[in-house]
Amino acid sequence: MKHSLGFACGLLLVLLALTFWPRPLAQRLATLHADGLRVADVYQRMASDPSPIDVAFIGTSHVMNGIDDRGVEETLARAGIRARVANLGTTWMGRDMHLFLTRKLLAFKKPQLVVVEINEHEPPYGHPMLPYVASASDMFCCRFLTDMNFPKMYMLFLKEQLYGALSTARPSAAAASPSRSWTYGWSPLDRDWDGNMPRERSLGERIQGLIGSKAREAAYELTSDFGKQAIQQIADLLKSNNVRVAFLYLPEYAFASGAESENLQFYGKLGPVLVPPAALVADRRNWADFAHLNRDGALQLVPYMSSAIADLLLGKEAER
Amino acid sequence: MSFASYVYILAFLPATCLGFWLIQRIKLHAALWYLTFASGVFYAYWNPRDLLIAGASVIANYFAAKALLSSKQRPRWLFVGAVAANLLALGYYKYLAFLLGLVSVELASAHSVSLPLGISFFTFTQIAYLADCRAGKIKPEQHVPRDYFLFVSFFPHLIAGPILHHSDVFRQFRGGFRDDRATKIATGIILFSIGLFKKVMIADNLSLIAKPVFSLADGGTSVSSGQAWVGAVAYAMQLYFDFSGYSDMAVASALLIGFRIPFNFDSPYRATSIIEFWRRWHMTLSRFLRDYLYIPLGGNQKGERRRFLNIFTTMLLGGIWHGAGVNFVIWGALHGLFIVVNHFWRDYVVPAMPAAGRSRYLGIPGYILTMACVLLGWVFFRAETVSGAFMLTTRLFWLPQMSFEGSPATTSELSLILAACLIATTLPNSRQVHDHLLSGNLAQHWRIMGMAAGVLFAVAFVAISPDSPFLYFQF
Repeated sequence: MKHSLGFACGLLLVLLALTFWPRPLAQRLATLHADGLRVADVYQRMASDPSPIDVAFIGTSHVMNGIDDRGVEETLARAGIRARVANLGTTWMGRDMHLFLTRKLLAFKKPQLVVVEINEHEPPYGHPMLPYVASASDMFCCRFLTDMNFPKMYMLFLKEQLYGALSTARPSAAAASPSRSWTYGWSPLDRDWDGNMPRERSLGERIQGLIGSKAREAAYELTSDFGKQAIQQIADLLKSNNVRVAFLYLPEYAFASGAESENLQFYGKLGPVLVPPAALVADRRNWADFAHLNRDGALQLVPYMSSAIADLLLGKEAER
Repeated sequence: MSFASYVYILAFLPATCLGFWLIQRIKLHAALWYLTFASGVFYAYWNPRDLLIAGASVIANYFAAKALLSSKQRPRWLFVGAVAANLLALGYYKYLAFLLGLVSVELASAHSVSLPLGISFFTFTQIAYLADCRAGKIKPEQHVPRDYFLFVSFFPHLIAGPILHHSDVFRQFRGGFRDDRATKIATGIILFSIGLFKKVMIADNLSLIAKPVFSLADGGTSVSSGQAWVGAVAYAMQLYFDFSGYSDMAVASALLIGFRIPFNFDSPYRATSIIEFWRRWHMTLSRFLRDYLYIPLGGNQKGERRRFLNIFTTMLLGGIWHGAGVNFVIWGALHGLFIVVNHFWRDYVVPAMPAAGRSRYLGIPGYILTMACVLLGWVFFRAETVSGAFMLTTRLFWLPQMSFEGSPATTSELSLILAACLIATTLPNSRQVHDHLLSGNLAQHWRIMGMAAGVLFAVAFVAISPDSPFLYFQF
């Protein structure tokens, strides 16, 4: 018994120490997994680029590849609206990362409007790159008990904290400093969707497949609560900072031309919902693959996005 | 599955222990078969094909031993045939490609087969058992399938030892494992934590220092003497912490179930002679080589020259057992030579010295010389090419070839190597901790020991990497 108690205390001590180890964000970004470098790019745009951000797009690779931020900015300028637009889309899904980026955005910039991407089905897990960049408060930001991947992600987080703690303790470990040229903003895809190309079912389709019986639906409702609760937090945070929030419907091709009204209702309660023209998203020639708009698709989206954002910004002005 | 994996720690080990404890309360016989089944699952987790090969080997050897025991004469032809079959199987999987490679590379690649995990270990265990059957050390009534199958396949020792002798476990299989279970479980948890920490936090980090140096040397790139020393010492420590960590976890896993199996290490880097080193390093292999190779070759019963030849032959074969490659042959031959010289020195030179001066030649100089010999051996053991090993050797020991330009390692790397050296040479080893805990000498410190184990376990558990197998799995 004495032994078990001692063992448990030792275990807990390490877990707590690692969880709350104050690891600088710069160091966390410097050791980011190669697949998540876009997160570091986006952070750099917010933290190191002195130019302001008036309108920010936050979302997945759908946003990253589909929103021509410079094009929208120029179109707005031609209409007499001066606003700096930033595409802060990052690869992969996970609302906890969007909450993380929103927090950082508010810490460094004073945006007027943040446009958050809508998922047709909120993924029932957090972003795979979050453990690399998160602090303890970021890891436990959302209703993590409903995140199916949380145990795995938490272990990854602890591992990163451990490596960070060890390298901090080593005198020769070089301080993390970015040594690469940062690329942020729109990342256009210059290819057309080859319809003959075999593909795996997309995440949305896989989740859609899960929803067949009432039991499955209930399980999904429970787990998707993680994402929805994070969205709610993002909206509340922005509103409490007097930043307008809007939601952009930009899901996979399979769902793009037929938005579910029930799904849109959830986002509609939190802010205006922007739905791109059906003719644009229903045209396969505008897609690079099953989930991402190509360059043509993104360019065709610019007039709609500019007009919608202008309305929102002017509406905000009118309110003032 | 590896001991240092989440699936083993979180699922396999708890399920096996719990299942065994529950079943043995009802029926010991069923519990032992359950352990055999669990060992099969453990082994098949890597590659189900290997289970077929290992299973065929175990069943064939069981019947060979049964045939030996059923005859009063215990015929020599049967024993030789069974041993030859074992060696042929081992040779096919382990040495055929190497031997064909000496003739033609194309021939070798055409006949290369993947090595079943742990084949060297379970083959040697079974050869020893056959030898004991023939020598009359095992009674026919002791040879029952339940005990034999579990003895060979018992998962804590199956992949990389410790190499068990039937006397280590047969009595325990008949209920001798039931004593003092609480202390054994507590000791097992502490030992497992120590082993996991050794492997994940020390050995795996040392490998990051050693690997680049050996890669450069094997690739034909020259390294400085500083780099060679850093790489060689890092590897010496990596191998010790990796293999002794594995052995600690093996002993701990057995303890958690209730069984005691022998330790493999006893602080080998404290040895002041090469003979002593082999009494402390991979002790169950040394015991096997002594009992089943050195003594059958004649041991020390056929004159001094023959004794030295037997020692050399035993170590040479021990080297070849580790793997198919010229470097393993050189490593075995080197150790054979070192031990012969050590015996000659001990038996002929030391007695001729004045008693007062002996400590001068046997103390610190003996330690330095021993470690130099061990280090030289590890260079050949680790290097993948003969030329790489010779290049490193000259950088390490050959004065005209020594060069110390540039910094061989970062401060953190040197700190890690130094810490590993200090732990290996000054702290109590796992066997000592195990003995103290089981004897009750540390009973008043259970809480502190438990807490320390919890800290070691938590840190190592977090850092477990799926891409880091134990070094001795390749043998």
